[in-house]
Amino acid sequence: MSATHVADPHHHHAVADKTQLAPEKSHLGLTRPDRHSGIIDWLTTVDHKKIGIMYGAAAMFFFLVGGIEALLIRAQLATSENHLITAELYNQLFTMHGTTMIFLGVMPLSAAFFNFLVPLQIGARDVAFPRLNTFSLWTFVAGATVLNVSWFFQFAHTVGWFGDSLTIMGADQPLSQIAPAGGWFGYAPLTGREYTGIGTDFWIVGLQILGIASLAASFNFIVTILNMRAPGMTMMRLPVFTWMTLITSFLIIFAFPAITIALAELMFDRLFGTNFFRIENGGQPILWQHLFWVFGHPEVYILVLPAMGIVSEILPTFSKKPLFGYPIIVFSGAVIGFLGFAVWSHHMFTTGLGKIATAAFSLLTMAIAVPTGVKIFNWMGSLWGGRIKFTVPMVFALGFIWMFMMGGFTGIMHSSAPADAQQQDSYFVVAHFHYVLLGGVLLGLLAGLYFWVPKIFGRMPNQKLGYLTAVLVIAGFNITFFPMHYLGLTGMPRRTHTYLGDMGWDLWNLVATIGAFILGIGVFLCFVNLAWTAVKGPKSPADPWDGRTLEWSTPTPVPAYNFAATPIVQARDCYWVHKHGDKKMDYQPDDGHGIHMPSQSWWPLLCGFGFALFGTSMAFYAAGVPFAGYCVITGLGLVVVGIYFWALEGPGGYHLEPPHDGEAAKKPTDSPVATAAH
Amino acid sequence: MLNTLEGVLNAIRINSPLSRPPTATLPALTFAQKHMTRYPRFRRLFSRLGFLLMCLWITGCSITTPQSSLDPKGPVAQKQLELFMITVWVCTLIFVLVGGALVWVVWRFREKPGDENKPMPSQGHGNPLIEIGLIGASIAFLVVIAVPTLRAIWFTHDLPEDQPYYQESKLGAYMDRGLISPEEKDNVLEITVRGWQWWFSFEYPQLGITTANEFVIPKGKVVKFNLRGYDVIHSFWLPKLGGKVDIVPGRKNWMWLMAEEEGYYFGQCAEYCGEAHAYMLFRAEVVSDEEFNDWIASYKEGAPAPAGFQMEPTDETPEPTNQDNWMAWSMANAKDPQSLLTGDPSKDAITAGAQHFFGKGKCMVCHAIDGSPAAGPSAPNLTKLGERKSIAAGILNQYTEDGGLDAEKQRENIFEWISKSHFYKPGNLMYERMDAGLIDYKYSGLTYGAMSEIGLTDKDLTSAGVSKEQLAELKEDPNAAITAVVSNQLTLRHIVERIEDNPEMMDKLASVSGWLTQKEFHELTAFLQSLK
Repeated sequence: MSATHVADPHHHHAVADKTQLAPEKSHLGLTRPDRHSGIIDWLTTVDHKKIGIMYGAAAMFFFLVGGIEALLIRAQLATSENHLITAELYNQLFTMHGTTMIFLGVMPLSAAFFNFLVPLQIGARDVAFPRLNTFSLWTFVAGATVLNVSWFFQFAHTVGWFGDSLTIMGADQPLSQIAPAGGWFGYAPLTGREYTGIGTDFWIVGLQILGIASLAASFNFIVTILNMRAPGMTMMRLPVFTWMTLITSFLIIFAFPAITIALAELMFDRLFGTNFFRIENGGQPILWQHLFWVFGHPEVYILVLPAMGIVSEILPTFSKKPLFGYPIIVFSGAVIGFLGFAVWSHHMFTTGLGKIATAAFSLLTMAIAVPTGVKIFNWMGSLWGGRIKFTVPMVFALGFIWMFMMGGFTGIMHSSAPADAQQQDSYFVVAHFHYVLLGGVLLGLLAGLYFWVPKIFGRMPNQKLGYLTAVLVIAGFNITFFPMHYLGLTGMPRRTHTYLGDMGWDLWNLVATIGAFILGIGVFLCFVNLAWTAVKGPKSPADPWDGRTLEWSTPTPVPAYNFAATPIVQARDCYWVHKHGDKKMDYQPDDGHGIHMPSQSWWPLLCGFGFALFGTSMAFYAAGVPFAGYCVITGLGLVVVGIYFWALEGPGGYHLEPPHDGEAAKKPTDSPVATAAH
Repeated sequence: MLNTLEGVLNAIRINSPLSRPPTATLPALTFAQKHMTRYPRFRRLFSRLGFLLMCLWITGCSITTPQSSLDPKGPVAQKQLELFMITVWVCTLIFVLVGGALVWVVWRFREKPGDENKPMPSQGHGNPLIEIGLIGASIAFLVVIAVPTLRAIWFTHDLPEDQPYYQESKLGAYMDRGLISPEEKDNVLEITVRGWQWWFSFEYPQLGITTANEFVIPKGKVVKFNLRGYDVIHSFWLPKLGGKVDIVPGRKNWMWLMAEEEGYYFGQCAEYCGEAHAYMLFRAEVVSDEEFNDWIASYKEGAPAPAGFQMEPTDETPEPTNQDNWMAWSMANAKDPQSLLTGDPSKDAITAGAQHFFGKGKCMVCHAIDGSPAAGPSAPNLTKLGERKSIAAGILNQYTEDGGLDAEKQRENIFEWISKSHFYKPGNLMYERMDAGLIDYKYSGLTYGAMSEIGLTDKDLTSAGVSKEQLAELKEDPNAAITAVVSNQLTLRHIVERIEDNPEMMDKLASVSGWLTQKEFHELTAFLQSLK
């Protein structure tokens, strides 16, 4: 942000929290909004905290959508030879369940934490590129819309809302199977035109748009973390969550190009008749699997590492001890990220890789257990000798370690390729990755929500309900997924919409279904609790947990500018050391002209709208619907216009003057806990 | 190891207090009484739930279910299970150590009342020696898994030429010389598995036969499976004999398996392959050498001509073969179908069924029956259909507990399958592409005229969801397809269900649409069941 405030008459020396600011105008006459409340504020905001909250809200919404999909799946599988839903709908449900949970649930919830926490944890006032951050949010919303709008059209078609028009319009492709049904892994050639309808086009374009959002966000966080740290916040003083954000961002940057290429090739095959994966013309379906898993396996760590970072913050806080082996935790995170790129073919042990490749990927996969184990050892080391307080986030975090460990064990079992030949694509795998992604990642994220919600909303969640949800989620989860180990070992393949009654799978499928509903109730109550907290919860002090990192030193609710004065960091866990140790935090002197704030912008929202229009009409274009091509071009045009005017609307910005009620306003609040401990 | 597991389970079953009636069970009650005396209803609920869960656990975990990988019947599955159990034991050991330590740490260092006033815990930042020690230990545990893993990879990926059973597995060692060519005698039996949406074909290239969805192999012999795909990716998985290998179009994958016990084995496609993936099952029958030789010989002979039809010997063919019988039958059928009927109702049903197979039903366009003129290449080979213990790729079953075949059930299954295949396997190509169902899936044959002709009233239509306006529109042009007016899929489905539930209507529809009547389907069933 350059110092544009010097001669510009529109700049204000406003008092903090006042919103009467004149709109910004660039020399083109474009106006940048700078409201601080209302719907326009939320649509145009560049504040990382508000963006984080919106990511979180969207993620929770899609968790519920994905959860309903999962419950329908489980209801169908409750008994053998069940005809509750059709095979086609079942296939659409499991495709969208996987896609939704990964891309629209876990990733944006992690992004919510990145957004809200990273600037606060490194002592910055915002991310490096605030408008790019907004762009990521709205692009993500656009991608999510494109994916899920397919459900809308599917539903409309099934109940006949549009009459015959949908069927008639699909000149090149029957418009009957509209929701994606190719699996979240979209294996060619099943995703080819001969085998799946326009659902696959929705899926391709939706994922492609989500990829743009993820890449933009990742570049933003890398630049933020590397360049915007407060003085004294060296890399080895970074909070572990910020470290994991950094590693995750690098993983996204390296992993997403692979799926971008794969999706582009698939789109070309479907739309323009190229031959990347089409067998009849010499294409190689196996190529898709390599490209997909080169992305897909690092994606697992993209999902897991943020949760590991969250747990690494929570465990020390509630055992009143520093993280055991900080450098090793950070280094093992990086090693996991690196090795994550070297194990993709363990998803393909049964595709006929040959002995050497199978052996190599077997051993590399085993190797990845070492840095993962190291993390678990170090978490236990952090607890060792501490004074463990069983708060709600701590219960979730301990649940995370336990469940993640169990998922890790079955992971080791899979790494042994010949044993995996029996387990691959069976319910044993379903159990394994749900232990990692639900028992691990979701519990970690829920722990983080309960931990940081007092800072996000300035209100405390209901603790009793918190414990209840922890019990329901963990119990329901285990009742659902533990029996699946048995089901897989006795030969039940995954992605099957039903099974014969004499296979011996009825009982444990029923148990799993009951567990799924318990789990569903638990997660739902959890979100209800958090939503209630945001509106009605009792006010929280600024530092309710006796926190360790910089975000707890800010007032609650966090002011738009985060830090009235930039802190000077003197140690790892600097706020804890400030409260309990011998090194006090210091602040950069006031430069006398207030805090420079960025103005808001409409253009990222326009880009998002353009992407949504582009993606939806792209699918219809693929089906041969008339005029869809013009909508595609219009959508892309909107994106280009958005970026163009975004570049030309001028840097904007205004000044806020933090309240001058003495030094106390700048200094961190000393929590009652901290005072008592002294 | 697994025997031990079962032993333990049995011991629990016999000795457990839980096997007594619930009133006498409960040492657990003392705990419950202590803590839940205030909530007697909850107490009862809890103890009953606990009892129920224990019972479930003990009775619900059989490891010998039809598709269980924990019940290996051949060296490949055996090796894979041994390896799996190594990983289980190693992980269990780590789990006990790490999990135990975790529980202990959490319990030992929990905050107790009054702790708030104590000084802060020691602020240790880590200990490199502990870290290195634990990393070393982890690697050591992994080596325990890695070494047998590598050995097993090589064992399962190469033909077991160094194993004693390999010599006995060569075709020359157990096949009748008349059935194989001499250059094959040093090779093991090969089966080319082809995966289709959604069924398997099994070709025996050395023996010149092809079957579908059920195949037969000899006991104690190494069999090489060549896995070939043409549409989408499938996966060949026969858990009791070995883990899966994918059938990938454009790749020449293969695997070997061997069965050490005779029996009927259950397998399934394990790679998501589209709508009816769950219905892509297959079966393997493992038999003795003699039975295998007999089966091959009789398969090569082909299915006998319908209802035991025999050609009159002529000077040119004094001893008519099965093929000659079929040829004569076909010519007689072409000249005068009625002449083939004998007056014996059971025989005539078969004959009529065969006539539908080659005539009205057009089944021979896709299906082949070895020996007969039917040589359709694109659907399951039906030569020994009457011997198969399942139909529709394993969805409809007629096997009995003792490994036999329930003929009554088989008749019912075949009829259900050929007359309502889309109900049992949605999206199947017999129905989708060939319109070989009772009702054209696209409803194009379903006009208002046809519907009223078969007895579907206006009331039936409105109660299925057709609006008054739509009805009026339908009446305007009785020859227009219903889909031109009604697009709601649920309404269409309701209408079709109404017709399908009523055999009379079905027959009328058949006469309107030129498709097979119920009686004709029964005759076709009789013919198909006679193929053995």
